[in-house]
Amino acid sequence: MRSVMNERYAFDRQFKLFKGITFDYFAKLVPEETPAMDEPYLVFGRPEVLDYTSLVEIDGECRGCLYLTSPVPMLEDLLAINGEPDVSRRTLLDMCRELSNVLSGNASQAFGGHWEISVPKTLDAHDVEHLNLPDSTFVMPLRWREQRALLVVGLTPNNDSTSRSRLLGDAA
Amino acid sequence: MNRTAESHSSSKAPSQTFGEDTVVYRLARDLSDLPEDLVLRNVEWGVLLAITGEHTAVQIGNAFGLDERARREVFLCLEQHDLVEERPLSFGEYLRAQATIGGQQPRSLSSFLQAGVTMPHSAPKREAPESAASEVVPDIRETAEWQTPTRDQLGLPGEGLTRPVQTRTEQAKVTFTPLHVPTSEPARRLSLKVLMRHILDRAPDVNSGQLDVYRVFIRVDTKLLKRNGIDTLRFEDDRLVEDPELQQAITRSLQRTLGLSMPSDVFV
Repeated sequence: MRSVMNERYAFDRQFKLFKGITFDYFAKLVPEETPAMDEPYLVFGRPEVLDYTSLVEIDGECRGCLYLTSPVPMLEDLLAINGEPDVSRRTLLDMCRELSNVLSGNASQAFGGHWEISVPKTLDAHDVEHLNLPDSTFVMPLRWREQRALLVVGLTPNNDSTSRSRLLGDAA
Repeated sequence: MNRTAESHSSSKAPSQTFGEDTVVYRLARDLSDLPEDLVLRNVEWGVLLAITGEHTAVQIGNAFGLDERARREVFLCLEQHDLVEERPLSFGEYLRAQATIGGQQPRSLSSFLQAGVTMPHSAPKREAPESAASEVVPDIRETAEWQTPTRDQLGLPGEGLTRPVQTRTEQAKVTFTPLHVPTSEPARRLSLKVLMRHILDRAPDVNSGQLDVYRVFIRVDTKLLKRNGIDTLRFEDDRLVEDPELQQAITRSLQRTLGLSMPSDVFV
């Protein structure tokens, strides 16, 4: 029982680190406009996704995914901050890809060890519809510049046979 | 005597129970074997064609919007033409037939059973015309194979009743055992807020506590949650779970995931 608890709280520490450095990314963009985190909640069934999603799979003590899903206005703000005046599907996907890299780097930094972190995925709303995401997700709303993104973790226990199926579908 | 009866007074005499609410009629002859000179009113044809031997007179009468007098006229006519006959009913069928009478007043099971197996002394008996007396169809309840059950056999109170109807010997052996009425304990409801508070309180910090709550729900079938209207769950939400299947699923997952038994105070 002790080892189980140690593993569980090790994950919690790693997850807390992951969440912290992801928030820090936004905090460093505009120091005077730090992001805020609303109360997290659980979602059962189809997970919440917004316009563009950056996603990585994780596999270790459990299997699942971490993703940041953002509305277009937030990506437009990020493009502007990065000096990109053009707003199009291509540039929005570029910005989402940048967030995917940040997410992947943060996951590698936070989890590391025995965890496997997949190549990051960049998805629009249509792509996400084809994903086989976990049924239960832990959602952390991130509020920044009056926009709301969602940092989400979706896990399935490794000893559950259904988790052996690949997380991502054909679209990935 | 009414018009129809008068018009057919030379035909077969009716049974002593014709037109009674609970009588179930069946066809006395095949419809393909009807006399060519038979003439009936439209409603009489309609009722004749509606007879299947499975419905009481009152059910058929109601289907045609007939009041009691009109219904009795129609069945009397059909009986006199030897087109229909009363079908003997088993004890259970008789009770079910009794249930088709559209009394508006609610009554107890005891009262219902009394009505089903008794007949008032004052129930009028129709006298058959003398000329046809020998052809009167005997009331099945007065034949030798019918026997009056004792009040004890029927589990009925001893007073206030009138003449009991006779029933078949073998069916009179039916006994009425006391109805089993399960004790009605109110369903226990599981408070998710209390449960989450327990999980959060034992965790080293809020973040770990919230993740522990999440871990517990990972193993709970989302279909079960959604069936109970739980699509999302906020940590401050107070959701009361009544579904025993969902309660068991959460209890199992709590034990398996965190090694905890369900605290008793989560049930309200």
